[in-house]
Amino acid sequence: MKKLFALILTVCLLATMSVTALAANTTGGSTEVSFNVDHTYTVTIPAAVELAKETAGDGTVTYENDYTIGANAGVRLKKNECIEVTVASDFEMTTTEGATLAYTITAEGAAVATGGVVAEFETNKAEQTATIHIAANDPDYAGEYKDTVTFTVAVKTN
Amino acid sequence: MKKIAALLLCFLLLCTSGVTAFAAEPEAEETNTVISVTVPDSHKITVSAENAKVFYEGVSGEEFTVERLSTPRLLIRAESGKAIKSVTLGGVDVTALLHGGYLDLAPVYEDKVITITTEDEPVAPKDTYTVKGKVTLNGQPLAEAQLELRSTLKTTKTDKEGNFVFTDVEPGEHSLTALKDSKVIGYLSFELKKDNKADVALLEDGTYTVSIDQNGAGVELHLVLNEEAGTLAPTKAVTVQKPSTPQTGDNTNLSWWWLLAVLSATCIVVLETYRRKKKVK
Amino acid sequence: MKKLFAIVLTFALLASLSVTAFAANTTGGYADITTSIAPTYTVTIPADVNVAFNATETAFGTIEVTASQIHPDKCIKVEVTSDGKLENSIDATKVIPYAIKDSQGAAFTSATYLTEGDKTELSIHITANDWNAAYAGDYSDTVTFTVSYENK
Repeated sequence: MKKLFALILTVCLLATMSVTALAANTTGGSTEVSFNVDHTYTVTIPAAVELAKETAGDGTVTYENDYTIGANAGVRLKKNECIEVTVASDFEMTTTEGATLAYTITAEGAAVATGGVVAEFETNKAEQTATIHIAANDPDYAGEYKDTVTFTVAVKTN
Repeated sequence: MKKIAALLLCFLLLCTSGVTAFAAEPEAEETNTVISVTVPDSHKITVSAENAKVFYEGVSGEEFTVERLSTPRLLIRAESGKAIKSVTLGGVDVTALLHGGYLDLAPVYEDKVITITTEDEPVAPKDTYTVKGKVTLNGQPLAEAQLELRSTLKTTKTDKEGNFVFTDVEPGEHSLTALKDSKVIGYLSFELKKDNKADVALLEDGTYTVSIDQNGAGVELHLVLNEEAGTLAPTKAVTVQKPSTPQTGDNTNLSWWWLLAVLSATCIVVLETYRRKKKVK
Repeated sequence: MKKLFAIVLTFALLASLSVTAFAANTTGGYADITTSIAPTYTVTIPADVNVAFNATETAFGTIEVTASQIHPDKCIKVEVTSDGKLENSIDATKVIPYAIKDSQGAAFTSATYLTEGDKTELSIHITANDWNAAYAGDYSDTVTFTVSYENK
């Protein structure tokens, strides 16, 4: 048993050891060299955003705020790959009394539908951010309005 | 150790749990509003009358200002040859409420219009009488008071003893107004009626019947002035006798005069016959 | 000797084993979108009014909600309290009774409102008999409107 164990260990050792190939006085030959670097990225998704009251010059009242999604410094992806952050929402806040308030999410000036992309990040040594804008009109009812949206992060090939 | 770790974990959990902050509800608010009203202290009574006058506090006029909720007393007098037909106050017929020519109003709470209509008095019979008498106030003679008798207007003045005389007064409806300094101080509405004796009777409507002995020359009255009520009340009526010597137009005891005439004629015939017989002899 | 050799071999093996290190890549997250809207409302109530003498019915004004943003389970309540008597300014024993009524002719004491535009028109009623019995003078009374936020 001991001999068998010793034998196995020896084989493993041999398999992992780098062997110095000394050039012989030979005329030619080839050796395959390879290594693997995996994706690394961290996307920060803030847990909450509160819409604040805004009053326009004509007296129109809206509730809105910006929401920033960030990627850490040193995002590393394959060439032609990017990180895509998408949002899933019914775009409607509700209160416990049953009042509802529709809202919109805008990314780069365009409204986003459910499943739409709200941010894209690429390989970069520096930090990256993407800001979306959430806005709602003045509702009929007072109350504590709330909705939960889901952000999905995925690597996409360009 | 495990317990301490668990305790710390719980503490951290509590610190980070979010607390829902609810918006404060509005407080109740009170606001006061004032309702105000002004009730006037007087009202106007406007007179609409033809051939009649209305007096208030002795003065005639077409509009009177009376204190709110007061009960004014109005005197309504027809002009000569006229009689009051109807009186309406605020559109309501109050003719039946006239009492001796006076109308006592209920508490006045708004402006009112009093409307009076009159009619011609019936043609009186041709007999006329003398109405004379004395006016007293609080038992004393009322001197120098102007008296106006209607329907056909006759005026006179009481003398120092309060005496007055009206002649050629026809039986029928009359009114007698006493004035002092042009202000009405007393009023009497009465019917002069031919009867068997002189008498005075007060009727339910406040007017009087003054009965004249049709065989007399007239009636003498004692009139008591009640200044507060504005009334002249006859308390006594006595027949004014006719003079004893026959006067022109005196048709009484005609049979006796015929008998005397026949007797006188017979005496003349007898005496003439005797004279002629003596002459022949 | 063999044991020692085996141990050394084991350590060498372990030390040289390359372990693939996988990065902790974000797959997604949740965010709460919230906003808090406090209830607000504006209610106009009747102003001071002078009743004309002998008027049995006088317009008093309107209770109206001119702006409203309230909870769905709440309402705005307006309550009216008064003595129901106009009191003479000199003699308090002299009064003129009155009633506040709505457009249906019912005595008004309170009402609830939900949205902007909801309103009640009020009027002041004094009977002819009460007018006729009223003594001369100036009369007044204070009516209190209480606006509150209530459950439906």
